[in-house]
Order: sequence, then structure tokens, then C-alpha cells
Amino acid sequence: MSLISSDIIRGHLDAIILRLIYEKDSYGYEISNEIAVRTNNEFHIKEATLYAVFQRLVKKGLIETYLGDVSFGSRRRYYRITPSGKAFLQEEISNWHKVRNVINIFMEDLK
Amino acid sequence: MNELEMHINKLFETVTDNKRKQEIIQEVTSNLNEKVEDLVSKGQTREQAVKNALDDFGDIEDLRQELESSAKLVKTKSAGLSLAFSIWGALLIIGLFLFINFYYSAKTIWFVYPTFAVIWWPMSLYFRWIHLNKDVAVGLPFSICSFFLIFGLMLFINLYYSPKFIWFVYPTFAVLWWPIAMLFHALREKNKKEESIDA
Repeated sequence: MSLISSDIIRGHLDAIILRLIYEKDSYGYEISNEIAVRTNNEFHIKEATLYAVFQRLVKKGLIETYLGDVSFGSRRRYYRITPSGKAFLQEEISNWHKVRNVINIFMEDLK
Repeated sequence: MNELEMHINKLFETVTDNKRKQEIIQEVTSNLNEKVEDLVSKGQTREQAVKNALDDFGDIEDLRQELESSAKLVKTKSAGLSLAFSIWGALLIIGLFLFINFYYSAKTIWFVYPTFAVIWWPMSLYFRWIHLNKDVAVGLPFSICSFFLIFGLMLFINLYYSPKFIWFVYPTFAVLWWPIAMLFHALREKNKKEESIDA
């Protein structure tokens, strides 16, 4: 099974992570695990990349953090989506549908 | 500190020390510990699990840049607040001296001296804010503004006290070397940068 190149996914990481946090408040390992499970191990996100995305989303005000239950000696840091994050996600979903339609015009018929 | 924590601390060595960095290290450590336990429960040995967890962690460069940029944002905001405070403070102090001068001794103008002293406060903070906000060298523009400030004071004292004898040119000559030196320093740095790009 070949892994999807991270270069292709890179531009959509913010939206992917926002989508998962939108579904439920989550923490780092839970999100990276969920991505691997949902993509059937076709895509693994590096933890360093994931935390960089968290920082970026928090700085933009799209998600916020809070401390939850204790795990391995320290409290887990959870992330939840903000109203701005929900609006941004809606916009990204709309943009993705447009992009997908454009790419499909050129890629669909080739097998 | 276990092996995992040692590796994580080593990874973050190059990141500037601050509260956010410590929070991230704690978060990463906790999550990687959970990942290791997961891998061990799936049949890997602890050593294999730790190695795989660290190998899969990835390159910290993007995360380092995000942390540095957040730290810079905080520093810039703080510099902005200090600048705003210094402007208000300077205006108040200058206003007070202006009032005292013209209320008690309107025939002699002396408020320019404390004004000259106080104005360095907001001026230096302004250039510090520009340097943090725009990430540019401010040595040359600061020296030019300082030159005009000192030149202005010398010109005032000369023309106010001894208009028939011109002497302001002498201190002006001395101070002019400051922006000239900064100009040539800036040109030399620009040259060095261009040389390293071409190489």
C-alpha cells in the first residue's frame, strides 16, 4: 500500500484537522490516530506537522485549547473549534468542492 | 526523565525558551507516551515502540517557526504598548514643562531642554517597535532622526543666545559622523548579503 504524498495533502491539513475538531473536541494523539484509521492507513500525519497546525489554527483564532483529564502524569490538552473556525471550515469545504470539480475535468477520464 | 522525554527535550533544544514551549513539550510528551503504550499493547517491545514513535514524529522545523512567530507577536504587541505609553508620557511631561515655562518665565524659553531629553524615550521605543514589527535594521533611520534632534537643539541654542556668532556647525560636524557611519555600515551589510546570495 503506497502512502499518499504529504505534499499533495499539505494545503488541506488545516481543513482536515478543523473538520475532526468540529466533530468533537480532541487532543493530538487522538487526531493523528483518527486520520490514520479513516484513511485506512493511506495517510499518516507527522506529529510535528500536527502540532504546527494546532499553533497556526490557535493563532488565527479558529480553535482554542483547554486542559482536560490527566494522562501519563499531566493534563491532556484538548482543542475545540471556535465560531470563526466553523465559518472558515464551511468556506474551505465550499472551496474544496470547486477545486475537486476543476481537477475532475482533467483527471476523470484517464485511468 | 525517561528516554522519550530526553529525546523530546533534545528535539526542542533550538526553540527559544518560553512558557508556550514548555506547554508544547508537555503535550508532546504526554501524547507520545500514549502512542508508545498503544504500540506496546499491539505487540511491539518498549524499545521498538519508543523508536517508532520518535521516528514518526517528523521534522520540528515548521513547529519551531510557528512557536517563534507566536513569541515574536507577543513581543511586538508588548513593544507597541510600551511605545503608546511613552508617547502619552512624553506628551504629558512636555506639556507640563511648556506650561511651567510660559506661566512663570515667559520671557526665557527653556522648555526645549527637558523636551529634548524626554523625546528620546518615545523615539527609541518607536524604532524598537519598527524593528520588531517589520524585521528591518533601524540603525540608520534612528541615527538620522537623532542627528536632526541634536542639530535642532544646537541651532536653537545658537540662534537664541548668540545669533551673531555661528558656532552650531561644530557640534553638527561631530554628530554628522553618526548617520554617515551607519549609512556605510548598512551599505557594507547589503553588499555582504548580495555576495552570499551570488556565491
